[in-house]
Amino acid sequence: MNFPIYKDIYNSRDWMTFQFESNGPKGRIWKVIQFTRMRKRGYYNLALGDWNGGDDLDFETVTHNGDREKVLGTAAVAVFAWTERYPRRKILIQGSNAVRTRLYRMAINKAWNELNKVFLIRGLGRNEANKLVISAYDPKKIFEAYIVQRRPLNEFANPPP
Amino acid sequence: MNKDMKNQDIVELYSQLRFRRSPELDSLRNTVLFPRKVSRAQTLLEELA
Repeated sequence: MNFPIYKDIYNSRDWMTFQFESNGPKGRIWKVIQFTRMRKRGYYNLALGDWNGGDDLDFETVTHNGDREKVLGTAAVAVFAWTERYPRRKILIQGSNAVRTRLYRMAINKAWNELNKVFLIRGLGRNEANKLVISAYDPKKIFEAYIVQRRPLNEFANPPP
Repeated sequence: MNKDMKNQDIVELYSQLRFRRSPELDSLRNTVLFPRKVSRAQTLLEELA
């Protein structure tokens, strides 16, 4: 995996919330990753954002702290940690806007070889009838969100292409 | 290096992480920190259903 990572991570007792410190030109910024159970059975949303420690926790900001790859790399490894504990759960990853979702696509593409070994990644997008469907990940296709699952251990060594 | 070893990239990174329990994060249990994001996700998944 080409991404550097932040190695010090705080976690909640139930491993649903993680926190780590982004360190860059704009200073130190706390990043929070939270997994939230969805009404659709087996699905959990992954949210990544800034946390200033105040009451307004719903950040949609892009910090530009010069460490985007490091933050996303840390998030990817945090997903691995989470799926160590909850291997059957499906994770929905959706950017806060189209630009963010495209950013995630670029990050997935860049680390595809490594990610594909341990995660089954699929896309959530529209078909010709404008119906929302789950399909195999296509690095060139624009999806509205991604669904990530941990691969069974016996698939680790030889993931399908 | 055998094939299994080459496939340890994320596993190796995972082993480098230093996790620490945070009472502050514990106190946020059942608190949705990103309600707008979660709301969008719920809407998307409901459409999928």
